[in-house]
Amino acid sequence: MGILDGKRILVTGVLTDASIGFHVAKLAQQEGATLVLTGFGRMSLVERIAKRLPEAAPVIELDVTNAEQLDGLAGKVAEHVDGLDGVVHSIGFAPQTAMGGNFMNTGWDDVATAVQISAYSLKSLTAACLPLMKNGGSVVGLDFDATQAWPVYDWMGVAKAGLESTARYLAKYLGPDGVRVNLVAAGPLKTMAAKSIPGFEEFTNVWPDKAPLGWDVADPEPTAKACVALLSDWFPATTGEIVHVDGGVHAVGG
Amino acid sequence: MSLNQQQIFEAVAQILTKTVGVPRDAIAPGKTLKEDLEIDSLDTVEVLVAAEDDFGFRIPDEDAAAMTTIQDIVDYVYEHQPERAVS
Repeated sequence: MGILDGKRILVTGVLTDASIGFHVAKLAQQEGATLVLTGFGRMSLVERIAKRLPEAAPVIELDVTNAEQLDGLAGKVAEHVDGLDGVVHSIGFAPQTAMGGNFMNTGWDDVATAVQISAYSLKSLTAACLPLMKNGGSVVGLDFDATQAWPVYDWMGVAKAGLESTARYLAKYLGPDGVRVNLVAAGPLKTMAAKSIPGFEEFTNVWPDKAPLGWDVADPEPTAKACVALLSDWFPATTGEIVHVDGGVHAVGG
Repeated sequence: MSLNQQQIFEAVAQILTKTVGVPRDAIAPGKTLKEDLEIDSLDTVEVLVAAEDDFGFRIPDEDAAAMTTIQDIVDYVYEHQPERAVS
């Protein structure tokens, strides 16, 4: 008996078994969900990793900037499940020139890429899945607190601010259809994506000390648990919300 | 039964060819992954994940980060292969 028994959930952003998406997928399965995954670029890698879940899950290729793939997504998901009760958005990308302290020199094209893939894609993905969410459902996105200017995060931080706003508008427009849209703002975690952020150690070095509850950059489980909780029926009247899973850093000064 | 270094090298070469398309004749023990074979960090992850599946054990990130040449991978697998561990 799990809190996701009978739920059909699409999980994006699984690349390695360190991916946040992988840990959400694993816990979701343990809580009873049936999963479909999407992968981008490294399909053979994603397929290998999908086999490491408690139950191997099908993988569909999805580039969130590809209109054709977005249009075909619902049809491909429907080959595996007869509808969706939840969607996990764990997608973000910014060109190297858009991070690492290069904020003042980043050109619009690179910023646009970061915003399209990291923020607009929440709307694109959700819209692509809506035909399968006839009875409403829960969309959960992975966020990094965008209320402050962080070291090195730069235009990715701007994109995350866009993601937060996108989630609120989706909550507004999709609430009447019974679709909840929430974000989990996690503290820094050692994933492949994090490794590509130049100067990422500036977060990992200070976060555990700043967090009232402490913070383990190698432990994605608290984040996965929050995502699974939001996917469940236990937040039926919550939408447009950002749940911070960061050891408490967002709440304290210093 | 444990694999010897040559058998492991051949298996690693096959993984490199199959997963990231490195031509077989470009592969030699002393070649570095990044500079000589020009494979990026995600390619390396793909190679190591395939190696984990094929050799049947996990390679922690910290150990993976220390591997720069093909011989490093071969040595690591030789030292850590499960058959050797129990023999």
